[in-house]
Amino acid sequence: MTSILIHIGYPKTATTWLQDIFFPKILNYHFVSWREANRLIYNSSCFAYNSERVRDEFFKNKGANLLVSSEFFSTAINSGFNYGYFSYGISHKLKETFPDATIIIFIRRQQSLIPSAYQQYIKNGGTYSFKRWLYSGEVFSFEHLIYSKLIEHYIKLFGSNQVKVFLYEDFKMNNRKFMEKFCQEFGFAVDWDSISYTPTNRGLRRFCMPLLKMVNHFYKKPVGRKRFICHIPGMTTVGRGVIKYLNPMPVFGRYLNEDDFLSKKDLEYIKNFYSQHNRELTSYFDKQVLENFGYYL
Amino acid sequence: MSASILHIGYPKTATKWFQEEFYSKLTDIYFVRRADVFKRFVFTDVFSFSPDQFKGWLAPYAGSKRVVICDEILVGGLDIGFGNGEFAKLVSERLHKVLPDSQVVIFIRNQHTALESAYSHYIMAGGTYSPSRFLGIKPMFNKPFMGYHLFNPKLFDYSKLIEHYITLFGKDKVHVFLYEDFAENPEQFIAHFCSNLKLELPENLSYKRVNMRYSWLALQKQRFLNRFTLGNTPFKQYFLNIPFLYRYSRQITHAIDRHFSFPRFKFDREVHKWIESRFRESNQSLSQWVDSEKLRHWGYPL
Repeated sequence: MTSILIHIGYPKTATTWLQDIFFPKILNYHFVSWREANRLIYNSSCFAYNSERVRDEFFKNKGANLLVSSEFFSTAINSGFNYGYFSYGISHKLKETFPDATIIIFIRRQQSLIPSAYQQYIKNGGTYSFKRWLYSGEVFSFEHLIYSKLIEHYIKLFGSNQVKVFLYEDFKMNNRKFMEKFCQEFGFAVDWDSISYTPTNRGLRRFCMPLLKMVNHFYKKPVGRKRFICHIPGMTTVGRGVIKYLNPMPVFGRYLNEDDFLSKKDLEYIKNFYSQHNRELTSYFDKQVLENFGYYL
Repeated sequence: MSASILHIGYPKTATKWFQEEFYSKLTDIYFVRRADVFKRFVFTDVFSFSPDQFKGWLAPYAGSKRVVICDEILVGGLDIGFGNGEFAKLVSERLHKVLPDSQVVIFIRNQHTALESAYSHYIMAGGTYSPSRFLGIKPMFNKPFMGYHLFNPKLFDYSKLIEHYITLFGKDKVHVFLYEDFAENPEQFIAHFCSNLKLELPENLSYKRVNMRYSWLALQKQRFLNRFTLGNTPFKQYFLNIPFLYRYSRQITHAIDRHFSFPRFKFDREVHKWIESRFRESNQSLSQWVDSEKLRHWGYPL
């Protein structure tokens, strides 16, 4: 019997590393990454969705075990939460296409994910300040990171045995050990020698952030909302150049971390917002483990 | 109690008139207020919405009266990104769970004028894009998810949504009306509409149009000033946000059209050509529910 695994994110939980480095090296699974998965599922009309055709396209007569990964399935942080209806639409398409699939969800403590998502917003062309991005509701929605609700929703659709939740912090603490356990759980055969654990999508350095924000004011390509003065052709490439060539240089300062973004007041707000919902995560993880990793409970 | 009525739009098909003038004057129905539709039905997140809770809230208010919900927000699309129909589908399923035996009312309008009206709406909401950018003739982004919240002409593929509602509610429960029939002779149309849905014709109805399409000049002025305001739409290009300008600029736009009679805003020929070919195929299926001669008469792309 073939096994179908669908990794739905969340975004900013090492998804790029998993998709670019790890999943392609799994020998006994046919891996479909986000571009193809989005084309077939995320971007297809809800009213003309042909689940059989989509399923066939995924398998393409390969008949092997299937592993699909797209963090867009839990919807991109910078695209907005929109009362969850995109998540809902996608989850039902997934259920229709792969009723017997196992869903993989990675979560990360919100006070660590939020600064990372903001840096992604800037990398993708955003111009808003952190406070405006966080609180205005124009880009980020706090509801987006209520993990327990999405997990419950998938459990209702696929069943509790078919939804597997993992902590990003567990992976971060000892990625080799974590991945070995992860592979054991799903029966992955991996070519371990070809796996590199170097992070693939690092944050921004201290002085690259303002530089990139300035460049972003001169081209359109909003992920969420942004402000741009005018569109100068080629500025997108300049922005990409800043990330690719200047950001790795230590001369631009150290990499920013969550303390550079979140004030005490922000942390208090995040704690008040999420702690009640995070307590529901204790159905899947030991309370002590969550607390040790800094989840607000 | 007769079956409830769910009047779901489309946007730009006189729904405001129905809300403010027609349903509000019917005495034998319970017309769910817009604020309640928003708060309790549409903008309750997908993980928190409970059909039983909504039914429990509605029952004491409605009593034995016939429930009527009329809101174009139920198909989304103008101020809510259509995406790939996620919102419209979610809402339709919610409606079916809450009021499964309802009569569904869908007004459609020929896409040439419906999209002109939708574009005017976008400009009045603070938009700055040209018609071809707004309609997606010139795509803004290569990656589809980036334009997910932008207006999507897929919304106006009427047949898909009608079919979907028929699948949910049944063929005899879904009533498709043409906006043009209403606009041509509202009195006659409403009499027919009432007898069709077994409603009592209200007295003292005013058939004055509630929403008028703006003139070309007023709209261009608004579009220019929108570059200096934040407005109500995320998809736009603006230089800076001058406080209060958005509100005052809209007032000027209204004043221009109140005091002068400039030609109404229309798309240019190229855009109409695009609309004609974009909607031809999907409109052909409309003949299952509406006389195709009538569609042709009213200028629907066929």
